[in-house]
Amino acid sequence: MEAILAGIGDALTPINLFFIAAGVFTGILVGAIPGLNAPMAIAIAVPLTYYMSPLAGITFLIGINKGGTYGGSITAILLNTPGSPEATSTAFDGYPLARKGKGLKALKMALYASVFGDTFSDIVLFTVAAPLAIVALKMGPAEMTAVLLFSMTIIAGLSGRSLVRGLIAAALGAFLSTVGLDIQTAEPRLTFGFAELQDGIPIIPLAIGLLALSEILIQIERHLIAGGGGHRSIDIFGRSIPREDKVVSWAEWKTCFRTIMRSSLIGTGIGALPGIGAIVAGFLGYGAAKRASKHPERFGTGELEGVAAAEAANSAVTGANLIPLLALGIPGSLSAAILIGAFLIHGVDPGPLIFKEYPRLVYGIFAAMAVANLFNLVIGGFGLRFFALLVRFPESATHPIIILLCIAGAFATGSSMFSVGIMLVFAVLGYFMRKLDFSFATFIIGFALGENFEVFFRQTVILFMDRPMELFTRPIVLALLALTIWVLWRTGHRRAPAA
Amino acid sequence: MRRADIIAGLILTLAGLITIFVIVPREVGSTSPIGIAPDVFPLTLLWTITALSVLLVVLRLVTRPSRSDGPPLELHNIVFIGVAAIALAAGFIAIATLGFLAGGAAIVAFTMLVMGARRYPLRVVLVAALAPTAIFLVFKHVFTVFLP
Repeated sequence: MEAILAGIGDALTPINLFFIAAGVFTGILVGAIPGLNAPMAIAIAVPLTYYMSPLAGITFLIGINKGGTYGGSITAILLNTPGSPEATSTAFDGYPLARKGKGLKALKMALYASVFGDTFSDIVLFTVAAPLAIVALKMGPAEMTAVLLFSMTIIAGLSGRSLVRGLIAAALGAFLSTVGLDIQTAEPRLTFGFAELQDGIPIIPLAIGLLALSEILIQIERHLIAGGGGHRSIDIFGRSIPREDKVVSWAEWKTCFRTIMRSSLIGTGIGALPGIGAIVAGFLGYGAAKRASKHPERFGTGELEGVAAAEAANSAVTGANLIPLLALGIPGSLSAAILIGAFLIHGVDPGPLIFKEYPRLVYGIFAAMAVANLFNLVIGGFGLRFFALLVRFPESATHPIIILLCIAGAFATGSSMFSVGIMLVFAVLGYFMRKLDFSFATFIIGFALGENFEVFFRQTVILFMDRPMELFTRPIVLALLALTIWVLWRTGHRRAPAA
Repeated sequence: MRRADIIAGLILTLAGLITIFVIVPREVGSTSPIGIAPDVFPLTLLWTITALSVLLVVLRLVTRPSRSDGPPLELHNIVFIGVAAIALAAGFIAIATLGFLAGGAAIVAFTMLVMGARRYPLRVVLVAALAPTAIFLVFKHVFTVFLP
């Protein structure tokens, strides 16, 4: 109880409140600029958290994630171009609503649904993560190896269009995590004589290259092919638009409430499973709302419920994604994988022990998440006019600045140009991975999990080298191996044409 | 994706075999006085990657090519990424030798011009001058990071 109160107190200090607000503002800003999204911003911002306290740094990044999830809906509604992939389903009804002159209403409903879904998901995180961590602490190396194997399989199977390509990406990521000093003998591995590689490939330049810079390269290429041109946004503030089309009435909120609740449940469930993510949650929430509606034919033509369903579901993933990260040390999503880097920067190893070793920090993060939801509502609400203007920002001005931020962020990781070089190499690799449909998200998660996977794998081998059959007498190991085989069979079978 | 998967699978298989038989024996020790040798885990992963790459090639070879299967990488993509890689390397050298302010300004101006901002020279000059300066100052004074 003492740790909970101390954590809440920490979160409410003026400096931490400032960083939470700054994170949420940055997130919405980034989400509202076409072509940029929250994971990109988180990757670039992680090195900056070196210079903050652990709580301020981590909550700043979580704020970006929360703000970015809502921010993506702004471009989806005003431009029919999702600012972030998870807002794709928001555009289905959001853009038609904007064309009918109800863009402001759609944006407000998106904000309310997003904040509700996010808060719901956070409450589930607060109540579930600690008990799950207690269970995880009772697991030995064999069980943890099986958990990691299962997680990597499920992530590989669900995050791309091909199971085989997903597994290759995960294994490749885990392989690159073996670069550096050996964990037992301290012997250099695959360092090619570079002293900078003795600590391994730093995750932050790798993530910035794969996530942010490679995406910018793809967008510059697309821009060159398409011939560029600015974004044409719909005016939602016009004086000719009646007031009832600019606000969400109490009756509309009541009509949508059941849908928002349903979507929040769907999003939370999806978020707690590693690898599925907010895009799927948005589609499932939208689909469930359409099926449950008395007027399914209205969906896709400008139904407010459609916006509420998609936004509540994709935002509910944000909090639940941290359940596997905090309870098991397994990132549930790309953003969570990058967050591992932020935790490690501050000497905190995310996983079940975090509740025992850093309870004050964990409860501080929980309190900050609740505050971030409030800030999301306030900043998103009051800043709508400003954020709506951002969607018109030309790519020719934003993209060069993002490239510079990528370079500066990578440099800040190790204060050396070597980190920038690593970032550039992974940017080119990321370009090919995107083009050839090898999931870069799976690669990063594989990389983030690689070190722990090796530790548990080696401990298991040492423990059971003389008596391997004993592994099959452990129920959790058996259950997880069976689940892994089942996932492999199901995803392979379901995607037979795409393998 | 069929042809691309076959090519990617073959490249990964070849790279996997080279790493297993040439790079790992040179770069990773194979003995350890305690526990298991440092090369066991990397080799386990490498064999997994190689086996999966072979599986990818085989699966694609037994699948009939469909008409909608366009090549995901065409010549213009290769040209683009080649030019981009050279430009990024040039930007890297520019920052390493001239510093972040001058190198950054060159990167911003080049990217803006490539992206069609030629019609707005004032905008190019302003963004190229202000963006690196602002980033440099924020990193220096807010985060105490001294960019080169």
